[in-house]
Amino acid sequence: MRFSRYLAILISLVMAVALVGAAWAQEAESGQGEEPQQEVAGAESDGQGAEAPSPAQQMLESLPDITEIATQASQEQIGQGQPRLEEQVVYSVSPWNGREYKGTFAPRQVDTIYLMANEYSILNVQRTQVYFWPITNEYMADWFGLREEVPGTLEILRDGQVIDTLERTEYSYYFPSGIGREQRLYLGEEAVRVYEDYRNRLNAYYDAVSAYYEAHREWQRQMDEILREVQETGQYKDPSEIPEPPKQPTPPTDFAYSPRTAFAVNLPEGRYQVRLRGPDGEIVPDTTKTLEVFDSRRQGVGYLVIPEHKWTRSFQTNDPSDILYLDGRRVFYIVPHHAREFNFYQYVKMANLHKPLEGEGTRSVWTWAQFEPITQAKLQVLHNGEVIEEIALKPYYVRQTPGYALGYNIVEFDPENDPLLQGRSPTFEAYRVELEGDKSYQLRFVDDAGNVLIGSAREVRPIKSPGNAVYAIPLFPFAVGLVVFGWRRATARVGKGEEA
Amino acid sequence: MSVGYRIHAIKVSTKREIRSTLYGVGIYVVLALIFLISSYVFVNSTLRSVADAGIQALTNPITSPLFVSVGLAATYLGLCSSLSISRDRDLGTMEVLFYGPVDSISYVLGKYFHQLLAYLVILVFSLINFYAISLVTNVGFSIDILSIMFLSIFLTSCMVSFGILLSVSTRRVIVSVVLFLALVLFFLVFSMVHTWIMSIAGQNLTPTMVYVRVILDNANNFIKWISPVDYFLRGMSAVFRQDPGGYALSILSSLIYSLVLLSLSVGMFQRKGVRR
Repeated sequence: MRFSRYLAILISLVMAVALVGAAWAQEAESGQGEEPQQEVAGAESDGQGAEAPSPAQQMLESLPDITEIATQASQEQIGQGQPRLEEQVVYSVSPWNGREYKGTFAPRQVDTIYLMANEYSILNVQRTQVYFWPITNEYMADWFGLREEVPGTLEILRDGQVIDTLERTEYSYYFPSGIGREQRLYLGEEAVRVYEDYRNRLNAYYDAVSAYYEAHREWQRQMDEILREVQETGQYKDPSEIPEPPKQPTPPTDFAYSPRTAFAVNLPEGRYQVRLRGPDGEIVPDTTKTLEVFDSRRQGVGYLVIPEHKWTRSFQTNDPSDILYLDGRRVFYIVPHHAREFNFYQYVKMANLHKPLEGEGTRSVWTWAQFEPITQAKLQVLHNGEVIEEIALKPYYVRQTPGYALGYNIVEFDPENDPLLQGRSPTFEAYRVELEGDKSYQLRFVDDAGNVLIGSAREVRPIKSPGNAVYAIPLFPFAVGLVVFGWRRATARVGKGEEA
Repeated sequence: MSVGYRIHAIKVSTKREIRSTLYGVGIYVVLALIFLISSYVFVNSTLRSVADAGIQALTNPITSPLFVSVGLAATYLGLCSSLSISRDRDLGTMEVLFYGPVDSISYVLGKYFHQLLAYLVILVFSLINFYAISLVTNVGFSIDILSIMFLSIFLTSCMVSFGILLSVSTRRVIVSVVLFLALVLFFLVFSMVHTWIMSIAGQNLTPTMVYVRVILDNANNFIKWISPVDYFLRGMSAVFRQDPGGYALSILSSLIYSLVLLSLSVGMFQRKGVRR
């Protein structure tokens, strides 16, 4: 259910971007002949020194924040069962979970906020309408109905002493490879710069799209002319006389959120208090909360292992004490990433403050969280302490075998030498390991300087089938018992004999 | 009674009892059965699952059968200590002993050290058994396994102390045996259910299951201090985390646990007397 909601949000976002972009492009295209409008826009620009926001910009600026996307009540929910909306001052929280910024909020009923130590998280104090949705046991907010930023400065206290006072700063989320992939947070002027760069490139793309349509229309007109001539004269044109079609521009693959303002919190591990001091110098009611900043218990390198013989059944191994066991010769692919082990309760609560039951009863559980993937390292294969192979990261493509029979091959992604791969993307990037199941090995990752990445070593052992020996060995104590019993009987007989 | 006499009494009692244990066949039969059970678990869990998967990441798979073995052996010795004291009381042996140079401290410690020595013998057999199994299956026999084996001495110490306390606090053999087995079973089942519930922590649970989890977790906060199994599990976890501090703490807390239980046993002896 949670997945389908995220999927719906993601699809909505992508659709919104696509629709607004298409509408803007169409408008730009249809506006080619409307000289007076352009003149007005130009006059406004000249006269006031500021351009009217483009539809693309309007779309970017109207995108809701991550917290709002994650916790916004749908119209269906607001319309069902007459939920009792309550106006509250809440903390909207976008915590970093190692891979992305999640979205949650702390309503008045929640008194502790959890954040990861030494990483930036975004906090904001806002007034909104809150209600409890009993079907999913979570608090929801009607951000679209009411979203007011509560002015003031955020005070952070430790042991009753104010240790820091934060002003709101501009922030922007940036996705270098598009939404749903790597996410970065930029703060202050850098956030504005990154966003403006993205917006300019997006505008340039839409300009290029308009130019493309214009060029395409012109090309089509020339082609129609040529066709007409050929039909009339019956003489074919020389290929050099046929114009090249215009090339369609490629849209930016990255994405940047329009900057907003909030409190960027980055604290070392510890228990703090936060509160908002208003412009009148008073503490804003309902803003005093406990802030639990937690750190990892262990750090290491997690392996995503993709076995070649069943590549869709990949598995994770994060704990350095894990051993990879092989049954015979095996080929497998390793996708490494930095990993950190956190308390499950704190890690889950961090991103689910609005769900009171989430993570409850798990204070004794620990979990590994994936961080950024490791791409600048080499995989070393060792046997008896000697490096026998160094493997580099390469892209691979899973090619289905043609025909009705099931099957696939995993091939190195090399579109230059394999025409079938042209225009396609690699299925995954990984380190390919091929090991014979006859001896034990060790795997480890080393950086460019040859330093072993902490927690990256794993033992690999081929398992042997022991047959019945595995049941014969446990009988050893029984054999010893029989010997002892026999010896006791013998000594008892001798004793009796002596007595006789 | 002077310390010297007491130590002598403990030595004599321990020596007599351990000789009796080693000359009997019971311990060998029980050990063979325990090892057979653990081998069966091992073959049907680890070896088959690796063979089915082709490649699998596991914590050293010897750990589970080792845990089963040392857990059963420690329970067996705890039960033996409980039985032994109850039987001594029932048969009047205890009363006779206490007319001689034996007091409650030397009697309790004699029983305690006897079972610990018996466990050291079991540990030697365990070492041979699991080393041989790791050799024929190539699963590896690491320093972690040795650390867990060493840690199991303290599990046995807790279990034996627990058995002694129960037998001292009850007057009938059957009551002490049933109580010991029921409590150990409860600790084991609770530990297993708690571990299972916590292992599905990432999955969506119904509100009822979440409340069950909360109750279990709160109960665990109490039970982890009285269950001997939990002291051992904490130590095992420290071994896999390569956490020497946690490992030492587990040993220290097991020793304190044993000391407290043995002191309580001595106190109860003195309060209740040794007569049937």
